[in-house]
Order: sequence, then structure tokens, then C-alpha cells
Amino acid sequence: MSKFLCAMVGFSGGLAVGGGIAAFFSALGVVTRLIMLCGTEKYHKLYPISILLGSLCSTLAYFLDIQLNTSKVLLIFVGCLMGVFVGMVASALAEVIDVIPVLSKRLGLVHWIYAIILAMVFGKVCGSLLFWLVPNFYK
Amino acid sequence: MTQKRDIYFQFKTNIQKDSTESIYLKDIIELYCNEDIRDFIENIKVPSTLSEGNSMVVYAIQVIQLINQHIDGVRVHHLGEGKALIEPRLSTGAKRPAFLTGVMVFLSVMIVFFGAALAVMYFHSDVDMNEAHQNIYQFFTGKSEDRPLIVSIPYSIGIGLGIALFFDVFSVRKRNKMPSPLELELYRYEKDVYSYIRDEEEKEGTT
Repeated sequence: MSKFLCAMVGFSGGLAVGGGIAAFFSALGVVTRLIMLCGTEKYHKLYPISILLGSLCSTLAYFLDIQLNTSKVLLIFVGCLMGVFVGMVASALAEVIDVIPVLSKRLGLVHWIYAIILAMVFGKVCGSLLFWLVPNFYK
Repeated sequence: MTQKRDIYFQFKTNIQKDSTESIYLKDIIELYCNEDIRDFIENIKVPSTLSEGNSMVVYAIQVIQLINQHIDGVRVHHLGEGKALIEPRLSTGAKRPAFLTGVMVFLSVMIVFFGAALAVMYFHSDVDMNEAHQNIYQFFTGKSEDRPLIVSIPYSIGIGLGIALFFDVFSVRKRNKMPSPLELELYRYEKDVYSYIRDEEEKEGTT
């Protein structure tokens, strides 16, 4: 009985977290933006499946201690793809808060808006590289 | 014959005038009417309350009144929005010296640059990205590594790429003229400001 209860709690927790992830994705509009950029509106049904598989795989790997023993080269691609995704999430978040349009309008720099975006791009990359490369930035 | 005396007009959008200039009807409306009276109507002067930093609202009723004051026996028809906002032309760019714009650009670029750098560090510490990268390293290679730079460096470059992609900095899809989310956001913001000022002026006018 208690095992059944445990399973119930785990299952409900998983439902809540899964729903949360799906809501987060759709609210930020990262995936829609990606579809728009690549012009793959036809295959939009693949994207939710991909999200589902991705979160499922990472959950399984996290709980079951699976190890793949592949080469390190694969990691470069994985790291890059994860970075692209985080970058898109970060800019989607920044866009929700509306900082850049308001800033550039207030200061009369509408024509310079891409300079500001580029500054953001380089700022993120430099910040991230600093964080990883300089010792003592993280414990 | 009566048909020839019908006048149709529509307000232009985004009207900007210098506050010292006088405003004529041709500046604020699009007109459809008989050609022999067109010139006359277009050059009717609109009383201006425009001043530096103060915009004014023109109502369709005022335009109809104006036209009727100057020509008898015409029927004026109005299409679309019932009022239009005339903004004093912004002196941005015209009056501001170039070096000041340069300073502004430099400052805001610096703010955004360091802000972005700080924000990404915040984020990494907050979600313990280091541990996540260690886990990924272990997942793929089977060995543990304290500083899995082979994940972290491509990841960092990927962040930049992701932002550039999101805002379409490289204009990958210029062909189909899709606005980037930033342009949309800017447009929406300007429109909000525009309609706010217009409605606010109207409120001031009635009280």
C-alpha cells in the first residue's frame, strides 16, 4: 500500500513537473521561434515529441546512472546545442521584460538596436567563458 | 451634380510637424474629391496648438467644420479613425550632436554587455550549471571530471549563437521580410505610446 502511495506521489509530481516544462517552453515561444527561423512549419509535430524524448532521456539518465562511454568529440556538439538553447531562452526572457526596446527608444537609439543586441551576444559569451575558464568563479 | 460636391477624407497616420510650421489640411488627411476644389481644400490652414514637446489631437468633426467654413454646400464624409495625433517632430538626430549619440550608444552597449555577462554568471551559479556539465561529461564518457571544459566552451559559444539566432542578427531569413521579435516589440511599444498620448490628449481636451 505504501509503495502504491509512493508511486502515486511520484507520478503526480512527474505530471506537475512535465506540465510545467511544457508550459515554460510554450510560454517563452522558443520553439515557435525556432520553427519560424528554420521554416519547418510542416513538421511542427516533431518538436513536442523531441521535447518529450529529451526530458525523458535526461530524467532516466539522472536516476538510473546510465553511462555511454562515447568519445569526447560528441560532447562538443552537445555543449554547443545546449548553449544555443540556453541563449534562446535567455533572449526570450529578456524580450518578455521588454528591456531593449524601451532602452533604445528612450535614448533615441532605435537605429543602433542591433549594436545593442550584439553587445548582449558578446557579453553573454564573455561572461560564460569567464565563468568556466577563470578558476574560483565556481566552487 | 450633387455627387461632385461630396468630399471623402481619411486621417494620415504618424503625423509629425515642426512646432513652428503651420499645418495645412494636406498634412493630416488623405482626400478624395472633385479635382477643381482639391487644391483649395488641401491648403486650408489648421489652427495649431502644437508646441515643443506638446502634441495635439485633431478630430474629424473639426476637419468637417473647417472645410464647411471655407466651402459652402459640400458634403464631407469621413472614413476610419475619428481623431489623429500630431506630434512635434522629434529633434533626435537633428539637433543632438553626433558625438552625444556616440556616447549614448557606447554607454548603453556597455550596460548591456556587462549586464549580460553578469546575468549569465548569476544564472549558472543559480542552477548549478557546473554540476550539470559534470553530469553530462560523466554520462557520455563514463569518467568524472571536475572542469569539463570540452562541454563548457562549446556551450558558451552556443549561447551567443542562440541569441543571435533568436533576434535574427545575421538576417538568415531576410528574403521573406519577416519582422524579428525585436522589431515587433519596438513596433508594439511605439504604438502603445502613440495611442496612450492620443487618448490622454483627448481627456485633457474634455476637462
